[in-house]
Order: sequence, then structure tokens, then C-alpha cells
Amino acid sequence: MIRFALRDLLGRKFRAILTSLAIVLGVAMVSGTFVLTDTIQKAFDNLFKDSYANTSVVVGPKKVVDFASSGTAIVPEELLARIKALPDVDAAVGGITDYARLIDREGQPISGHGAPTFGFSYDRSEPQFNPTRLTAGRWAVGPKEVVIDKGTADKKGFRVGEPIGVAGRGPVETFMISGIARFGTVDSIGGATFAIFDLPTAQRFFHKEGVFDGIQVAAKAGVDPAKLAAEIRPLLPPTLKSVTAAEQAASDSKDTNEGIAFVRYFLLAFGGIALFVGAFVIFNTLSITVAQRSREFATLRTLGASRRQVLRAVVVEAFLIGLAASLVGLFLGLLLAKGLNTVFVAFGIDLPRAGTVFAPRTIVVSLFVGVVITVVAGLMPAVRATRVPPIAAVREGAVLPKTRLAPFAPWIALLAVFGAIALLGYGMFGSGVSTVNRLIALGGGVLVLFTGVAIGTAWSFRQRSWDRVRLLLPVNITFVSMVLLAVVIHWADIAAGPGWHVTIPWLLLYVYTAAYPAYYLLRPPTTQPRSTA
Amino acid sequence: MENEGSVVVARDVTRRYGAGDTAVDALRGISLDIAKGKLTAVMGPSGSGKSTLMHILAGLDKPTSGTVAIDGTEVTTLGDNDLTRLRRRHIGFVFQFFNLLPMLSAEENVLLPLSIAGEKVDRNWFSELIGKVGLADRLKHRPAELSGGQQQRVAIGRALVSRPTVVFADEPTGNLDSTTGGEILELLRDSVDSYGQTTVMVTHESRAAAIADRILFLADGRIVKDLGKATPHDVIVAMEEISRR
Repeated sequence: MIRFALRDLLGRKFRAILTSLAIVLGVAMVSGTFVLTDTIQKAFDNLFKDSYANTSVVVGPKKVVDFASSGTAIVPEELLARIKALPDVDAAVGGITDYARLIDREGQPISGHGAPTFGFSYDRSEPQFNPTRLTAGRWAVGPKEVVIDKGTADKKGFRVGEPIGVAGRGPVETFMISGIARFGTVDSIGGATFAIFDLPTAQRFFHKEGVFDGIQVAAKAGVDPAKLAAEIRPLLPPTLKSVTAAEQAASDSKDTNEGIAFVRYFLLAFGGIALFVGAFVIFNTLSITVAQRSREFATLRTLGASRRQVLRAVVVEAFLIGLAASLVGLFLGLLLAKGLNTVFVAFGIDLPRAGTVFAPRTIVVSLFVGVVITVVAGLMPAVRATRVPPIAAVREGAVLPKTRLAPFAPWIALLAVFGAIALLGYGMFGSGVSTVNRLIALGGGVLVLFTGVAIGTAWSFRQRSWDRVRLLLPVNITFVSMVLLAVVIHWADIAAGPGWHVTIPWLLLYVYTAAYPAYYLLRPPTTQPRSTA
Repeated sequence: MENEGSVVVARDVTRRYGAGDTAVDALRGISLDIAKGKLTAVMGPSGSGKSTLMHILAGLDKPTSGTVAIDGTEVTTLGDNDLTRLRRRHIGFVFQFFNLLPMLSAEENVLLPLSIAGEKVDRNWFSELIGKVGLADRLKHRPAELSGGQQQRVAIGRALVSRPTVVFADEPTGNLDSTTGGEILELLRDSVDSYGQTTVMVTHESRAAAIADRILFLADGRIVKDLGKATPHDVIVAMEEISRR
């Protein structure tokens, strides 16, 4: 029977491929989202890990919220000597980490569209703590020199020996570029820029004379960082903390991880919609196939096939479609992740990059979701196939028994559409609605709308009135597309503010609207069951 | 009437379609015994109820009243699973429109009842059967690549492959030209003679009925004549006699 299902698929390759297209796209979005966000996350993790290269313990101010009145606490310079005096300390360096904007030749600040613009110090006496590597020139020495990041140098055409403006807390000052550096092991730090000064220059430039923003401490070989952190703690005033570098890196990444998780769910929502469309296409195609093949199923029954075998034949067919589509989608997702990143970059959202991360979780989730959704969509047609009575093998034009809900289809459709409009209206215009509820209302509204329109259209097809179908088809497509357009723009505004809605949602919307008409176009004409001869 | 040699036994079978004023009685009380190893033809004009009778004998339809037993098993009360088992073991079908599965080759179509039942293929029997139905050089072809006669040969092979207790043939020549139809009738006759395959054939062609060992004539839902072996001429005479009544 499995061979029977397989043969049927292979015999109708074209139909199978078109049918599975929506599933392919949906899975591609899911896998692409995971690949993209995993890759960004790894880049951030590396970035933070690199920041604490060769560091065991980090001494710095406690979170601002704990000392709201005093703002960020500052580390006094004299603390460095006392830490260095501890027996377990191998080396320690104090440093400045602040924000400094580089100014381009036109006098405009070089911005990474919200990406941070770092300014920090470099102490040549303790080079092992420095996460950056020179690619040209030498480190900055004295009050008039700066090292800038390679990304900015490449993009804006700055070379060693040229002057560049830097804005810190005061007016723009002009420095000489002594060298160009790149950050640690990541390929790109996204739109972020940095300016590195020697320590006294940084302290003066950021008005932090006599203090540091933090101290990085390296333990002697064999000393546990947690133990060292505990040894340092008694030396500190209550405004400062001493934590291991690993803890600090983890807490640094926590904020960005939350941001990445948001991007992930945002993108996954679109993948989910595409999969939902895919499930409809599968459901629809298999329903029609089952109707067309009712005589084949009846013949199988007369030859001794049980209902379960007929069910299995259809479910296996759905499973194979789902598996093939998910596999293709999985790898298409890799390309999509690269494509999405290109779109990000094109719109100035330049995220840090590391080597592409293709996690086992991505593979498992993508395949699982794709296959399960396809099989679930195929279950109802499969059950209908088992209801074909054996006697249909000898009857002309045998039709499937209708479901009990069939007479109510237009009313269910109408109800669903109005319900959806109510949900969408609430999500878009309701006042005092929390963002989460808004997103749920919009997402739920889209799904209900789609269900209603699909039920209605299926019903109109069953009326065999081509005038009605011809009228309904463009109305449906336009209506749904318009609503989706509005919802997506609105959703994007809620989710991420301006800057987002010009990129991803539009891209995904086009995928979706491409899938929606496909759902009708791929629908084979509903005809009398074809003779099995 | 009932005896050891009967594999299909029907008693007082009636079938009514619809209810009330619009009810139609397709069968009005039919009792018959199908002899083992014989070819029995059921003949009658259209509307005589011969198709309905075959569907009920084969367990495809339920009678309104009466009983049908195949190989001693009462079929009218069987549930779906038991009917499935009955079909696997006891029943083979030959259809007017062949009902082959278009995606399977001739060989796969012939073997389908066995693969559905999960039974092993007896290769000797299979090659004997393929030789008998004359498909040795067509095994890898799809139904669409075969002529109508060849398709019906595949269908007969499929009906015989599990050596069922009884083969039901529903107008087996109804969709074929007369030459090809004649060949198919010869094949059916041959399967009865060579393998002792009990066969029930429903037909309205006198030429087809003439190959049978016994011919039952149906009119208005009743058996009106029961002939032994007959020539086509005898059959035509009998049919005219029935229609004149």
C-alpha cells in the first residue's frame, strides 16, 4: 500500500511539487529564522567572550538601577594597585569603555543605525586584555592619536595617517588615525564602530580623569576565577562588584539574547502563517485527489483493502509530501537566512556575523513542523477516502459522502470572516491593549480570516457556478491581501517601530500573497471522477 | 436445492430502494444456489435487477430482507472488517470498466490482492496464470499502454490470482468490441475448465450467456427462467419469450 501511495506521487510529480511549494516556503522561513538568529546570537556571544579575552575577573559598577541616585558608579584608579597586590593576581588593567562617534568627511556622525559606537582605552603595558587586533598602522600614543575600526575605515575610505573627527561627551575633536583594527574573531561587528585611545587620552576625552569604567583581572595559572572574584570583593566599595568574566559575558549577552528572541518569534510568526497556508493547500489538493480517485479507493476495497489500509495510503502520501517539502525547505532556509541578512544590511541593520550556525535544533524543528503539519492536513481527506463504499467501484460518477457540516459551510465562512474582522479591528485600533494581546489578536485574526475565506471559496466551488467563482476569486485575493498588508504594517510598527516595516514584513508579505493565489491556481478543476481505465 | 456443491447460497433476497410511494423493488424474492466449479450467467434486460443481485451476492450491497451465504458464511450481517476479510479470501471481481490502478504496472495490478492481504506470491502459479491470460510480454506496461482487451486480461488475472471461492464478473465484455469480447469470454470459460474456478457473470449479451453452464434469467426482480447449457440462439429465444410476457 505504501508503494501505491508512492506510485501515485511519482505519477503526478508536477502536482506534488506545486502542492508542496507552500510547505517548502513555510519550512524555509522557520529554518531560515533559526539559522539567522542563531548566527547573530553566536556572533554576539563571541563578541562578548572576546571582550574578556584573557580575563578571569571583571570589576565594575553595579547596575545603575541599584544606585539610581548616583548614576553609574566609577572605579577609582587607586583600586588597581590594591588588586594587583593580591597574591592570586597575575595581571590587571584598568580601562575606559564609553561611547564616541566617528565623524565622516562631510561632518556627519557615522552611525550604525542604532548600533553602538564605542570609544575605549588601550593600555600598551597590558596588551593581553585587548580584544582588538591591528590590521594596519600602530596603536595610538599620546593625546592626538586614535585607532579606528576596519569596517568604518573600509566603508568611509579612511587610511592610516589621515585626520578624523571624534565626538565624545564634548565638542568634536580631531585625531590622527595611527592604526586600523578589527574586533576579535567575528567577521563583522555589524554597524558598530569603535575608536581606541591610549588610557590618559581616553580618560581626558571622556572626562574620567583618575577613574576607570572597569578593571579586568587575570588570575595566576591554576586559580579558579570564582575564588579570585571572592578575594577581590572585600577590597571594593559597595557600589562596585567583582564577577568572573564568564558571568559578565553571559549577563552582557542576556539583553541582546532577549532582543534576538523577539526577532526570532517575529519571523517565526510569518513562517507559521506560510505553513498554515501550506496546510490549506495540502488539505485542498488531497481532498480533490481523494474525490477524483474515489473509484480507485473503492476498487482497492473490493480487492480486500481495509479502511485502515486506505487511510494509510493517503496519510503516507501526505507524509512523503511533507518530508520532501521539509527537506527542501530546510536547506532553502539556509539561503533565506543569507538573503535576509543581505536585506538587513541593505537597510542599514548591519548585525554582527560569525560563521553560519546550522544547529541540530533547526533541523529537528523544521522537519518535525513541516511533516506534522502536512500529515495533519492530510488526515481529514484520508478519513474521507476510507468512507468511500466498495460499491462505488461499479457505480458511475460516484461521489463522496458529504460531511455533516457541509450545509452550514457558507454560514461558518461568514461567521469566521466577521469574527476575523472583529479580532483584527481590536488588534489594530483597540486602545489600552497590551502588545502581546495585540499581536495575538492580529495573528489569530489572520488565521480565522484565512479559514473563513477558504471555507467560503471551497463552498462556492462546490456550487459549480463558474460565474460565482470568477467573481469571488479576485475579490477574495484582493480582500485578503489588503487586510494582510494593513495587519503586517501595523504589526511591524507595534513590534519594532519604524525601520522594520520597510524590510522583512514586506518581503514575507510577498511570499504570502504569492502563496495565496497559488492555492487557487494549483487547484485542479473539480471534475467527475476519472475512469480508472 | 441446497447441496454440498453450492458455494453461494441466497434465500428470499429482496431489495427495495427508497421508501413510501416512490419505493422501487429491485429484487422481489430471489433464492438461488451457485454450483462450485461452474460458470453461472445471470441474464436479463436492463432494470431486471441483475446488477443489484450481483452486488448483494458479492457483499457490496445489503438486501432489504433475505440471506446470502458464501462458502457457508452469512454475509448480510457481517461488519466492515469481516467483509474485508471475506473479500480477501473468497471473492474476486472482474469489472465492466476494468478498474485497474493506473499508476501500477500490469504485474503489480495482478498481484495487488496478494500485496493488500500481505500474502506471499506463488511464483509458479503466477507464471501459469500470466501464461493463461496471455500477458507475459506486457507485465511492465501501465494500463494506459494496454488495449481494452489486454486491460480486461489483467483484471481477470487479478481476480484469479488469490484463487478465490467465487469470481463475480460484471458485464465483462460490455466495454469491448465483439472480437475482443469473444476472447475474454473464452478466457473466462477456460479459467472455469482449467482451474475449476466458480464464476458468476452478469451480462445482457446472449453470446456471453451462451458460454455458461447455467443461465438464470431475471425480469422485474424475479428469476423467471433457469436454463442449463444453451446456444446463443436458445438464449435469444428465451429472452424474447421473457420480454413478450
